[in-house]
Amino acid sequence: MKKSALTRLGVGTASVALLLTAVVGNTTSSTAAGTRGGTLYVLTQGDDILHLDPQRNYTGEDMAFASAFLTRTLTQYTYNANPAKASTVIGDGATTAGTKMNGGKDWKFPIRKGMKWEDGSTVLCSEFKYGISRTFATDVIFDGPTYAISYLDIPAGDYDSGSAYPGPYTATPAEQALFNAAVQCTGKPATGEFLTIHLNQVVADFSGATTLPEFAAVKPSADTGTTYDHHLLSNGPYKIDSYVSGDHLRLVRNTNWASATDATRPAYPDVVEYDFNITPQVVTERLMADNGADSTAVSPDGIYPTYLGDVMAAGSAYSTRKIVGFDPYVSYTAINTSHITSLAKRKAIMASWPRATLRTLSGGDYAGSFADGVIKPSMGADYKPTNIWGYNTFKTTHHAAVAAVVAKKVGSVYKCGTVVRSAGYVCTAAVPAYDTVVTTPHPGALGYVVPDNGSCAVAQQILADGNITDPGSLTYDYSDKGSMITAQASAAIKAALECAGFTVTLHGIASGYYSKVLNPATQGDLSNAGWGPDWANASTVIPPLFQLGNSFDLSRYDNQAFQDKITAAMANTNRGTQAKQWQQLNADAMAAGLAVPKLFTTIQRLQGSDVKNAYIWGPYGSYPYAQLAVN
Amino acid sequence: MVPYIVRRLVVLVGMLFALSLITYILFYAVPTDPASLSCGVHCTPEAVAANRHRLGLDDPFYIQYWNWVKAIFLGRDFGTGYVAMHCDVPCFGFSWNRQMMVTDVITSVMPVTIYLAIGAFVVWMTVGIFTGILAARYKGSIFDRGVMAITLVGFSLPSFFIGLVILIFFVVRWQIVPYPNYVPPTEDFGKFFMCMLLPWITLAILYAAYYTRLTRSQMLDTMNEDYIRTARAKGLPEKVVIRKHAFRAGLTPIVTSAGLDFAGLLGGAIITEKIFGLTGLGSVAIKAVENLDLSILVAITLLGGVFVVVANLIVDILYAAIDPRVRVK
Repeated sequence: MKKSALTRLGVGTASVALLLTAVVGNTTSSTAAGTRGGTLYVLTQGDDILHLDPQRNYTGEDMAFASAFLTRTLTQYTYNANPAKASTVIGDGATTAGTKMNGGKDWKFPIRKGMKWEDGSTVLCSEFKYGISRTFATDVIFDGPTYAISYLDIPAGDYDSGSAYPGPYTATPAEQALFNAAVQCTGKPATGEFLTIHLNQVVADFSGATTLPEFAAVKPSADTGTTYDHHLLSNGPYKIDSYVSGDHLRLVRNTNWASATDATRPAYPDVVEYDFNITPQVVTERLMADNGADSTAVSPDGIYPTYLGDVMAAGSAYSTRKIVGFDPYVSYTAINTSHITSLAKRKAIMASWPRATLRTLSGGDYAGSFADGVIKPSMGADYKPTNIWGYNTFKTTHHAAVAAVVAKKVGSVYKCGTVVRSAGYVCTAAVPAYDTVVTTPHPGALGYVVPDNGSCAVAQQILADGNITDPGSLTYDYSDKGSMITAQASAAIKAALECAGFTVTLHGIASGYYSKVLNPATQGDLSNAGWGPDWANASTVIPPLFQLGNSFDLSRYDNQAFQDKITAAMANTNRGTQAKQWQQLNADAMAAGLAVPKLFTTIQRLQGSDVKNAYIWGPYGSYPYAQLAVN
Repeated sequence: MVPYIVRRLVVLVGMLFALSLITYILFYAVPTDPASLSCGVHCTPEAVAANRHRLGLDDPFYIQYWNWVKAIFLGRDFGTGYVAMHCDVPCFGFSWNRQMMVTDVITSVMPVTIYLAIGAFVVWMTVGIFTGILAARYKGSIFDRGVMAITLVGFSLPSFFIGLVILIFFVVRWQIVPYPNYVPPTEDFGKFFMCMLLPWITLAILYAAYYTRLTRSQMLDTMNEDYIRTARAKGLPEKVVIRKHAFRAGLTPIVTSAGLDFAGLLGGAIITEKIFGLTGLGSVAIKAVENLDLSILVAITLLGGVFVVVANLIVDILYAAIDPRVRVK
């Protein structure tokens, strides 16, 4: 999953909720108040929204924006500043979060009555069904999530998607029948319709999947295929008034939206205007200056690095306007186990990784905290520290007797210590008592304590333990857009690995990065990547990343016992025991050297003083767009 | 005069043909595959092959080029069946990145670039020529020295610096003008003017400095000529001497530079557009480079070349109007 172009979600248990609540500047609840009117501006350096088309929209910010204003999904997350509460799934296009049947293999959603498209027509069950079917037309509808293809009970076939159903555009009646059997509408619009989805496996948390716009309705007569991004028919509180790529997207009220059918979108502003293509420094300057219309502006972009210190400083003038929280992502480097079959080599790679240097290059404290796995603490119960890096404990011993002897005077200060004493000096009573510190290592899963910036010596020792004298060569894949930071980071990685004894070839990929590394024929040994869960369950982390052949499997770990554990966790419908399985699999993956975890990333945002109800919304690490109001 | 223009037009067509061929070769020779770029993240070899066929990239190069040239004059259909798309004349291809016809992309942003170029051109030519003439007229004076110093500074500062400083101070901090959100002049001329004012000034500072110096040096050269002395000896007023004799004779190199500079700007004032968030050809070109959107890059490069070639022709024709000595008999 592309770090910036896919993904979502950070969840939360109580402890995580407390952690996040502590750092959130403005907090609010799902019943946050606001007044109607005004224009909410969204300022960005980006030159467009990647996709508004619900079946192609797979970027956290874009999904949060579109779901708040334009597209109603089957289910949705709760708007709440508390991430634990925000991760609760509720109905949206459906009146409930769905009813589990057949042990979680079938799901039934009662379609909400009274929803309208912007053209005034009623939103029908068949239009949800049609929207879901578009996912299968992968030659037209690409870039979006493919859970419908993975989960729906449709036979495998020869189409590009791997399914026997090619999507609604080209399906023969027989092929369409396959889809119709998996997704069924019953009832009538007047009395109530039901959407029933038959899955090919038990998916205990399928109502999380249906929060994705992949499961949103599309009206067939309005479907313009690849160009639907620009001609989206809204069933949310706003509709597109004008949309010029690279310039702006202006939304005005959808007069046919029935507010009575929508309890979570108060739709406070009269107009929402997304302004693209603004110089990054100017975005932050405008928000800091807070002048005129900019006082009702937010930005999905981070704070420009030059100004981070000013904005984030304790007691700064921006303290009431800044918000901080976890984003959904973990950054890591996947180790291709089909190339690097030696566990010792994989552990040595992990031990050498210059994580502290990379963190500093990414922004230091503002970038995030060191990761210890691919499941983030914001995932709540699914997270447990893996102790991959190990740690030291320190015991300080107070040597009172030493204080009685002479020390060496250096300038005006008396110093006393091992070196001083070995040089023939003794300590005196004039010198403060002499302490020594005993360090006790607690090795992690790599067998040693690994410092934050990696250790050449530890890596070499791991290789020696494995009787490896020549660790050989490695290729490191990374997306190279020509930035100096990327160049410095890749150079640091190369230097660290070469210090351990590897020969490293850097493979900077200028375009189509994920297409290349996801292709086994063109993937290197190490691939830089980032991932965030699609909903509040590590079932959207461990399987995509480590299940053989899954959508983002860069590690290609062909170990039957490990794979069986993933299958077992997926089938577990008990959320409590499933969480423990994910915890163990996360630790197992690290111990098996499947990836080098780098950062649990955090985000900082600044908004205008007249923006109300702003906080980092856990599910997408975004603003709670639907709740925002302006003065 | 007419045969001269016809002759130049024939040459122009040849140049454009050569330009289009070179541009097409250069961009399609780069080691990237538009078929895989338009395939999304989870791309199979079959999907890439299908895209390649739909884009016509599985044809030999000369057929691809011919289809591309033909499409400019006759239009083109991409794909068949439910994925079929028609591209109207003049068709420069389909941008899979933007999911739009290239012609639509260019025509939607072209007005911004044209207005930016015209406005900046008017400002810099007016300021540059006027101050250049005055500096030459009062050569050695404090005014002359001051103007030369200022132009040196203006000439030395890069447009990204000038633009950013102007934007941050005049818009963000002092709020003298609003942030430039583009509005077409036909919709609200006042807003349009306020939006374009700072970009015009940013571009004009750089160019006006150059034109001030150029005008001044041309004027000084011609004002030392014998015929100027003769004109003064005849008793002509100084204003007439400067306007009719000195300035006109020195105008030729100014026109040459102005034509080419204006044409260059029409190809996209990349930095200025980016700083002020204006979506013109420059911004689109930058994004096309980032995304390796070859069809847009080819079209914009060709368009930029066309502007330069046409401007050259216009300049040559103006030469003949300005200076009778270069007219073809």
